[in-house]
Amino acid sequence: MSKTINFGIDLGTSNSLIAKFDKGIVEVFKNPNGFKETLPSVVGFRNDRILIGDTARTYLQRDPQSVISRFKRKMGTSETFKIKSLGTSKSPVELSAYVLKELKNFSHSGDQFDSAVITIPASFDTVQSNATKEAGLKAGFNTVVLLQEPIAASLAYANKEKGIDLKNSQWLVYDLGGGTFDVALVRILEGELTVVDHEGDNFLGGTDFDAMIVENIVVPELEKRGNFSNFLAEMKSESGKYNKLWHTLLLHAEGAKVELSNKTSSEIDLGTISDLVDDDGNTIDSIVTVTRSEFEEIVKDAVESTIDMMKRILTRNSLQSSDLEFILMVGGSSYIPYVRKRVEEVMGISVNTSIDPTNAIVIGASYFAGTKEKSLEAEPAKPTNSKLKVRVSYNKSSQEVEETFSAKIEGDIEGLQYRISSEDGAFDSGLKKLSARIVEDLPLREGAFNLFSFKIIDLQGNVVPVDFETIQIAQGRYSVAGQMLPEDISLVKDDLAAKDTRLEGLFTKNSILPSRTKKTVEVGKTVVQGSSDGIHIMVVEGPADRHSSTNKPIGVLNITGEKVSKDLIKGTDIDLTFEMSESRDLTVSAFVNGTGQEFSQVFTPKERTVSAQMLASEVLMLENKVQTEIEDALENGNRQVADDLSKVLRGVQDLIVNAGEISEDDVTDKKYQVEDQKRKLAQNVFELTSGKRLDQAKANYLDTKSEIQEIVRDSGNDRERHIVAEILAREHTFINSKSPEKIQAATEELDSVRWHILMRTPEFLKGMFTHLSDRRASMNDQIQATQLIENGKRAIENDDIEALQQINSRLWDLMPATDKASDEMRAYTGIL
Amino acid sequence: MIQQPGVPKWVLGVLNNLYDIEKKIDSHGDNSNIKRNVDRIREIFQDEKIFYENPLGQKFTETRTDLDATITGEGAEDLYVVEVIKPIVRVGNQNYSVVVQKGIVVVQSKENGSEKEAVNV
Repeated sequence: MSKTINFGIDLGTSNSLIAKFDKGIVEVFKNPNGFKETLPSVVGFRNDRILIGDTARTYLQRDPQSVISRFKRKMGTSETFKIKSLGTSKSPVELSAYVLKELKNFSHSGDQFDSAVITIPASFDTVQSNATKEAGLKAGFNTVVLLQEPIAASLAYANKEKGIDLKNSQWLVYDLGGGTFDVALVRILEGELTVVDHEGDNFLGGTDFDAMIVENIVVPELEKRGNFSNFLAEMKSESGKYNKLWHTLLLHAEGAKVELSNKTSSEIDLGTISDLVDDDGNTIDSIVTVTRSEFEEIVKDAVESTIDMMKRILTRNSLQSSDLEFILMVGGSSYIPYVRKRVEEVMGISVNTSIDPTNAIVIGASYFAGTKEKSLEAEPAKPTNSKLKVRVSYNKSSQEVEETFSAKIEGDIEGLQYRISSEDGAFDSGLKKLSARIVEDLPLREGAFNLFSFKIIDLQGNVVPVDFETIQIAQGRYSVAGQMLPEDISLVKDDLAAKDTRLEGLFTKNSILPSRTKKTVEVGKTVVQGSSDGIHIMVVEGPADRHSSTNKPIGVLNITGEKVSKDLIKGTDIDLTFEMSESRDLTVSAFVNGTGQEFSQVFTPKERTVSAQMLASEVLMLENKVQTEIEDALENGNRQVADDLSKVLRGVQDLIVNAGEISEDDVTDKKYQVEDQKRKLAQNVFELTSGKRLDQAKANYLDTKSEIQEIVRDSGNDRERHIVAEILAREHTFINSKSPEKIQAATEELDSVRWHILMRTPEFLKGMFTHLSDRRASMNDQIQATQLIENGKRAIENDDIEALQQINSRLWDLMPATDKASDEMRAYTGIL
Repeated sequence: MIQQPGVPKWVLGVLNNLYDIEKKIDSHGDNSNIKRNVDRIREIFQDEKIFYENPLGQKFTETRTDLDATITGEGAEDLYVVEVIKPIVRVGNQNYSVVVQKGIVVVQSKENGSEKEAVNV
């Protein structure tokens, strides 16, 4: 266990953050419910739950008697907050402890929290500081070290810009957040960072700027475009008819404000607001443009007031601006370019924006924590060992959208709480008092596996170990109300690279009917209008990981030259919709983007549709395949397999004759018989060759796996690492299967990640460039190729990887068609 | 809580704008048949295992953590989503998915506003 404190906490008035120092690096933890680093410092007590953070903030204005914020300003006073729903009061220390305990929950690596550095405003006196310390102890920290916020921000800066010498210098820390403003003069005295003076305003920040945008820019514009009487009052009043619009516009204004930090104007699109009608019932659909200069004009007075505070500090300390090293900008609202510009302009010295203003304080606190040793008595806060027995009861599968979870708890439950949260981030029960019997309604996502974590928590916020942790409920599964699909249903597509066809799954086995799916395919060859040539949307039933010839055809929708209103150009997209009813009628609809036509056909399971022409070409393809496999088996010395395949070949050749004799309008059963025989023979081929394909697939997979592990470790991003880890985690499900197709599918997934990474790796791109340059002689346009190669060399010299990427891609286009062989493939379905 | 997969900011930006287009088509008509293209783009993302949901009309309670809600009107009980600024974005498939962007919504007590049908996309 580390001897240093390592954890830093910014316990803010509006928002709080937690970070950890580990081997020289600070990680700011994210809220597991919401992807932000910040936790609103708001605590709510509603319906026997304790809510902390975003959800509590939602109820802040509407339920102020049960939801408390800004309690930091009352730290160290005897004032308490009456909580209507509890019938008791809570002190600022108790409320702060809730926030601190919730921050512990941000850790994703099971950290033991025994000590922390907690920041306090420069204005906090001894009593307020002690109160903060007490909150930390109440939250289960054994050692709490306090650090002033401006010092923390300065430490974040000093650790970032290590080469800068700040000895004998002084600077201002300007902290403009969401709801408060603070400015402090920081000086290095005898090697120690000290806050010399400070000023502040507890009601000035970014949220005020959002309201200013709505009131001063958006509302006047709306009044010009529609008839609204007593508009602003109707918006601001809880019972006003435009109150919803007020909140909607505030959210849009916040977005515009953020955008104005990077752009000179931003638009609020009123067209995206539902039911925006004026008093006369006219819909307002227009765009309000907010320019940066308009925004600057409306926030000017507020910004000036912050500058006045800085000037007062300088005057009080008999300083000139020139005596300062810089002004360090902290707090989310210091992103606003006008704030930076105006402060610099008036104060006449440079503003320092080199640290992230939103998390600088917590980062600084963590750096400090990384150097601060724990006190000797600091022991890890031991979780209560209550020897609890938990007996749970709930349905593991459900057809409902909500399921009741209940549990009986035996043991000493005094002072304990519990919490249930969904693993997908959509549900959190909040903290609830643990009783001998608990009941909670859990919302379920339809058609999904719903996972919830169940935790029992002691007074210090530590998790009490119990032998039950996860609640798992499958919604919509094992239904008997719906018809289950007995086999996979797939679409047959051409696979030019393999000179074969492949299956794309539409509905998986055991899907509950009715079901519907959509696919977009590409036309693989040009079909001339009026010709009998065409494309075939062919749907088959059987294992989706096998070859199409082993599946039963269900239906084919033919779109021929005779049916299209103009030529169907190669590359055109076709939107396909497949609907399967409970009685397994399949409706295939195709919307041809090039012609704007829609084709549709219903196939019923009673009427199997077999096209004589397609059957004939399928049998020919099978013959080719068997011949190739025989040659391959002989080459590899598999005499027995070759002999067995030769028998199959004779059967296929007999079928060729039979298939050739069937006309398209044949009314006998012959085509169905031929189709059945073909499928059985194809099945034989696949079984005879599965050993070879299995070995090949495994070898390919293992090669790709070892390669990708190295690549993703060296150059992959989080998402890519996550994908690879996920595939490797389910390796046992395919590697030991008898299906080469399953292994191949996993290999392709890994390969796709590999390519993604390689295509941005400089060394690979350079190698690819060399390879392409070597093949210049065979390229289609020599002049262009020469020019591109010259440009490529320059890009390498200048280390311009982006340019090299583009050059490679253009050189690739100049390569002669490498897939010439694929032209020899009989375009089978005509879709890719 | 499992670790959330990282989704590039630009992907969320594209999806939020796609949602806005869809909302505008619903409110102001679709003379140029743009809906088809919107559906296609959405399906392309869905194939990449990222999709969004419109919570308009859904019930809001204090246990929902997939929404960032602002309450409008009087009352704070029996709340429903009446305006969606940003949709909920999830990563995964039908069987299992996780929230990667909370929906930004305005909610209102049922007694105040009219209840709307839930819309799922």
